[in-house]
Amino acid sequence: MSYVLEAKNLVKDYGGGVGLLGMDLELPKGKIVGLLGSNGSGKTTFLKLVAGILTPTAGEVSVCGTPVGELTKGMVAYLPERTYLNNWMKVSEIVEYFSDFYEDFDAEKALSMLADLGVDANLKLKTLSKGTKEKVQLVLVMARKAKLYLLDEPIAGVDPVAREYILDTIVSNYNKEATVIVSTHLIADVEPVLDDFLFVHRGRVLMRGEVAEAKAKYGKTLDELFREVYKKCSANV
Amino acid sequence: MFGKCLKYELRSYSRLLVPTFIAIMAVSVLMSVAVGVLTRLVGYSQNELIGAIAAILLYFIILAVYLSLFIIPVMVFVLTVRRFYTSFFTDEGYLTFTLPVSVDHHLMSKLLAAAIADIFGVITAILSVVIVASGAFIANADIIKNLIGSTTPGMSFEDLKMLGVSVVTIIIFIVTAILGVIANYLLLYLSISLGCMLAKKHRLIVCGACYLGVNTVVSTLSSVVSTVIMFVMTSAMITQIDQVGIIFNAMLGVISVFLAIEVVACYFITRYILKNKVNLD
Repeated sequence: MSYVLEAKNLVKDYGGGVGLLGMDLELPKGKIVGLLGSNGSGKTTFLKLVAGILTPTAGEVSVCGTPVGELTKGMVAYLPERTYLNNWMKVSEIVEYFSDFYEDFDAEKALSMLADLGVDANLKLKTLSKGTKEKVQLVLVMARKAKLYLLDEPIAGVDPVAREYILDTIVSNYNKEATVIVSTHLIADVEPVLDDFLFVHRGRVLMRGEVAEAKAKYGKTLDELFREVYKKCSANV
Repeated sequence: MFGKCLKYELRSYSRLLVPTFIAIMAVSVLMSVAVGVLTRLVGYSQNELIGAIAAILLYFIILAVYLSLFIIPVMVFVLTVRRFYTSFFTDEGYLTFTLPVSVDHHLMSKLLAAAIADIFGVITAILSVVIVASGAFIANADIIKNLIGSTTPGMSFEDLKMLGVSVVTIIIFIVTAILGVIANYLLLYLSISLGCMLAKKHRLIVCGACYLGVNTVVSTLSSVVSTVIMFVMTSAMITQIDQVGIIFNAMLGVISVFLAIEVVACYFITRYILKNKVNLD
C-alpha cells in the first residue's frame, strides 16, 4: 500500500525537552486525520518535521515515498500557528506570490474563498487583524491541490462563523488522492469532520484509529475518549 | 525558481530604495541650483559678507552631498542584513522554508539582489554628484572653459602601459572587486546563520559577535597572506620599471584567490547551516 506520509522512529530532541520520542506512523491517501493532544504533546513538532521546518534528531520521514526536502515542499501545504505573511504586501500580492511558487495553487479559488470570508484583496496585510491574517493563510493553503495538508490549530484563533467555514472548506476540499492532518486541542469542534484520529502525548502516539469505529467501540465521543485516555496516562506517570 | 526568488528580492529592495533614489535626485537638483548661485556669489560678489556667507553655505552643501553618498549604501547594507535574517530566522521563515525552492536558489537570488542594489547605490551617488556639480559648471562656464584650456592632462593609459599595467590588470582588478563585494555579503550571511544557530535569545547580539569573530579570523588570515606577498615582493629584484605591473598583477591575483576561497567557504558553510541546522521556534 502506498502511503502519503511515513515516519520511522522519528525523534526530535530540543536539548532541554524532547519534542518527539520515536514516532512511527503511516497515513494512507484520502483521509482527514485529527492529530489530537494537549499543549506540548508534540503535535506541532511533528507537523514541522513533515513540513521541513525542523531537522529531525533521528529517524526518517517521507511524503509519497520521497524524503522530506525541496521536492516534498511542492506536495505539502502547511498552515503553521504563526503568521508568516510579508506585512508590506497586499492580499492580492500574496496570492500572486503563491501562484508564482506553487504549481498546484489555484489563484481564482483563493480569491473566491477570500471574498466568501469577507477579506478585501486590495488591503495591505499589515492593516489586517490577527484573525483575518489567519483566514488569509488558511485560504492560501486550502487553495492548493496538495497531496498532504498540514493544518496546525486552524480554528484556534478565529471566530465561530469562520470556524464553521474552515471546517466546511476542509471537508469540501476532500479528494481521495490527498490527506489532511488537522492538529488541534479543540477536539469537540473538529470531531464531525474527521475520518481517523491520533492521540499524542509527550511525544508519542497513545492511540490511533477510525473515529466511527472508536465511537462505536467505546460508546463515547472522541473528546470524552481523549480525556479518559489522557487522565489514565497522566496518572501512570 | 531562481528568477522568481530574485523578482521578490528586488521588489523588496525597491520598495525602499526607489523612493530614496527619487528623493536624492530631487534634493540634488535643488542643491545644483543652490551651488550654481552660491559659486557665482563667492566668485563675483562685491560684498565681502555676502561672499563669506555664500562660502559657508557652499561648504555645508558640499558636506551634505558627501554625506548623501552614503545613504543608499548604508540602506542596502541594513536591508541586506534584514532581508536575510527575517527570511530565514523569523516567522517569515515558515514561508521561506516551505517553498519548493532549493537553498542554493534562495542564497544566490539574495546575493544577486544585494549586488544589484549595491550597483544602484553607486549609480545614485555618481548621478547625485554629477547633478550637483553641473550647477557649478553651468554657472561658471566661462571660467571653466579657460581652466580646461590651461590644464595639462593627468596620467594616460600609455603612461600606465609603461609601468606594465595592461588590460589583464584591469580585468583582474574588476574580478577582485566583484569577489570582494560577494565575499562581504557572504560573510554577513554566514555570521547571521551562525548566530541564529547558536542562540535562541538575543540573536542579533550573537550575530554581531559572530560577525566580529569571523571578520577577525578572515582579516588575520588576509594579513598573514599580504605580509607573505610583501615579503616575496620586496625580496624580488625589481630591475626594470615594467616589472611593477607584473608584481601588481600577481598581488591582485593572490588577493582574488584568497577572496574566492573566502566566498566558497562562506557559501558552503551558510548553505550547510540553512539545510541542516535551522530549527524555527
